[in-house]
Amino acid sequence: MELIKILFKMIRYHRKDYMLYLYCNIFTMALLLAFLSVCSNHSLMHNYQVDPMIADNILFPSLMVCLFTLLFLPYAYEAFLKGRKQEYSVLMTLGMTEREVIANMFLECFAVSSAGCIMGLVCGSGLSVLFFLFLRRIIGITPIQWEFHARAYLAAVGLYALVIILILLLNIIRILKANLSELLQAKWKEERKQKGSKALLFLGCAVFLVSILSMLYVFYSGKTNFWLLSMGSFLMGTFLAIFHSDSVLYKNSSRKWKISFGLLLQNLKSWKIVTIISSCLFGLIVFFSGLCFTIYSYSMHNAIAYSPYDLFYVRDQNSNQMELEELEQILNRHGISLVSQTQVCVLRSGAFNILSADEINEKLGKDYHPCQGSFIQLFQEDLKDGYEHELLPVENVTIKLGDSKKLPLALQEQRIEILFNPCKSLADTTLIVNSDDFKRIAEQSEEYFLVNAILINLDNWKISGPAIAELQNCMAASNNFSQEAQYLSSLSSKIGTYTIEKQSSEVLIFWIFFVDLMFFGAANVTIYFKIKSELKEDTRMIYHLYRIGITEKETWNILFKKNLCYYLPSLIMGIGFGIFYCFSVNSIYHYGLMGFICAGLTAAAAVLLQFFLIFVITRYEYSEVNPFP
Amino acid sequence: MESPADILKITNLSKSYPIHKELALPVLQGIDLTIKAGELTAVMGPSGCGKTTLMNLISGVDSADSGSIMIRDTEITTMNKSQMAVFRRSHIGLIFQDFNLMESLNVKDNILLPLFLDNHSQYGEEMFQKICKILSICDITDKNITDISGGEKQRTAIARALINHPQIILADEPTGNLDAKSTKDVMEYLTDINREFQATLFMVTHDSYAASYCDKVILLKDGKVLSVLEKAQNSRKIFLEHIYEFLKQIGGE
Repeated sequence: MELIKILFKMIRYHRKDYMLYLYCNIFTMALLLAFLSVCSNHSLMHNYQVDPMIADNILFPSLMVCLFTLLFLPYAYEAFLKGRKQEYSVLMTLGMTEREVIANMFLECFAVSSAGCIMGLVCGSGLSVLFFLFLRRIIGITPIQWEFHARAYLAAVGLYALVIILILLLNIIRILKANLSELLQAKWKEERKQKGSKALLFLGCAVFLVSILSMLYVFYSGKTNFWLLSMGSFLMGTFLAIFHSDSVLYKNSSRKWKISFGLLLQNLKSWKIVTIISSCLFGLIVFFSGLCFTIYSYSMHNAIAYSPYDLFYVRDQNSNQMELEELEQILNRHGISLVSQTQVCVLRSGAFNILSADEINEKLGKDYHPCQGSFIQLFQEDLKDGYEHELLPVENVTIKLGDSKKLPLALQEQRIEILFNPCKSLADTTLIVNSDDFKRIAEQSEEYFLVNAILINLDNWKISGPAIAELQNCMAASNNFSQEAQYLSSLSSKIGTYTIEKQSSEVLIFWIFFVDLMFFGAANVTIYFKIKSELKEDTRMIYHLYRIGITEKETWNILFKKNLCYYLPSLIMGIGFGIFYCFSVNSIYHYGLMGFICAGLTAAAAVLLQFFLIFVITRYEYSEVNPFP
Repeated sequence: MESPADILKITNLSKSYPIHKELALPVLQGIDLTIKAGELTAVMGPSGCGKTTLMNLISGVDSADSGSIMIRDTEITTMNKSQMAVFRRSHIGLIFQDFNLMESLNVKDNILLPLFLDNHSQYGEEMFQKICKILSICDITDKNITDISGGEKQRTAIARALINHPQIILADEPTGNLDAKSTKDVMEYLTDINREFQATLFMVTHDSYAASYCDKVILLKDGKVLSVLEKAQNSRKIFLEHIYEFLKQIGGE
């Protein structure tokens, strides 16, 4: 009983560490559950009214959140346990058995993790509701709503429990394997380091340079898959350089920084690990944010480029039968006027859309001249849209006509041009043929059927949303299709595409904001754990300096510079990494400058926030170590 | 045991630490020692001679490669970690150079901790008062560890080592972190405790002055026992001069 009281006293003494570890657990669990809830939400993920472009944006951030859970929870537990290990080793010298230590560790871990899990589930549920409110109310994805899915909770708890059990088991094995003298000296042993090697430092720098050169190669060769390889070697080079940075660091430091470096060098090994982790996190923040903002800007451009007509739809015998007068009436009711209207005949099958060259030339003012028996393959794409394009040519097409006859068509040329809006009623590949061939196919083919593509321009597309929604509803009412069939017959409009692109980019930015928040929080918690674990040593060292005559201002400066040494290298490396890759990856897709600016702005925001946090942390540390009466 | 008065008997004790794949650095090589009950013994020697390793092996904090360590009638080298922990909590008192006190507990809780671990808190109070009186720490028992001086911390650590009536107290440089006055105080307290409780003290130290309080000084060099100096009937001052002289001869500190 007395021992339990003692253990409670110890817990009370370490309550700040417990709370920090608990917050880490709650934070991780809440994000994990919120993202998994969104992923398993039917109204978002399996809804014909929500474009897959919007829905799929959750997948990558969710993957990042799962990865984060796998990596951050063990780190937080390790950092938490680090402070407790010394106490356990003292208790073991006094006669506490391994079994008692393990039982205690298990109880502690179970209690904190369970509390973290429960509170995380509550916060995560609240967060997921907020996510949906934000998506509905602010971004405007109205068809979605929050749903309760037990499997999201099960998956979150399962992953969380798995990670906790694994790290607990790992630490129990470590305790069982270590002997007591090692545990007593664990901290010092950990820091007992070999001096960094200059050769490996140069090798790191060389790998770093190679990664930059390989990125140039990627840029000029167009082999875009290489950029991940370049990113990997960049990180490897940076790791090597950081691990061996001490071979030049201390000797070459100026007098003003020597004491701060001295504080840092006491725990060099853990500094290196912390710097590597946080530089990766900072780098990913800058890279992802830069990428998101770049995607946002070119998505807006693409929405207009890919929708040359304000309204486009396909009409056949069964669907979208609406007279032009009725259409105009609906538009007019919403204050929109029709400026121009064109109809083009399209022959379509499951694989191809076939257009008549003469009709296209006449009605759309184009200049296509396919010979008889051949076709022009049209790629309706903008090569500078920020995405990778694979233009696969169709060499020959044979069209079955009636009475077992066939019409063989050969590729005459390829053209890259956007003729009309993307439309779910049409096939992906468009061929333009001679008018005689077109006529023959229309009259004799059984696999191709004739539809009318209606191309409309309005006087003000930006306010055409409600009008087009009403048109869509009217057509759906007259079509009387199943939900899926109606989805395939839906109208394509500039405002619709623009809205989807805008919402999709905003949703992506929203998710990435959370991923960034998570990474930024993790980077700062990692460094904070480190600074806190060294507080006692720093207090002793500052006290010694105080006794030999250091002033208050100098004490502040030493601590501030030491904290800069913790944060700045990782921040600078992270920013360098993020900006460089955001620029170079976007350069491949013609948006390099935009990528550079977006990453630069994110980096500037991160630097400002980080400096503020360094100031806050230094103030806390100064109040703890300050020896002045 | 050859004599019932022998409390610690070490026979042919060896320990080495791996420094490379197939290379091991021998730290202790065939140590033979016998300590009688109630004796104050100091182990001295240059840095790296194996003093702390010897202490760790006797306390069961580390395990020996070969040889035997008998505490009273118990062979401890064959014990597993749990058996050793239980043995340590009731038979051995440990004092460290850096005190190893729990900052989360106050002085009293730190002292009583071994009893709590052994579920013997009921008889602790009387013993606790007696030890605190001898060590002059009655006034600080409610204080936090962070609020007391280095000398007080070491006296707290000594009290903790004594609270369980251990058969032997092992002290690893107990005066290493203390100033001259505190060193003198601590050594006098340890002598008083030795007298009062007939406690056996086995101490590792660099400090000849602290060693001069002991009945016997064992000098280690390169992992072997170089010599054993006995105080016998000499005064502490003369014994201190002997220690100085011997250390000078072997080029020690």
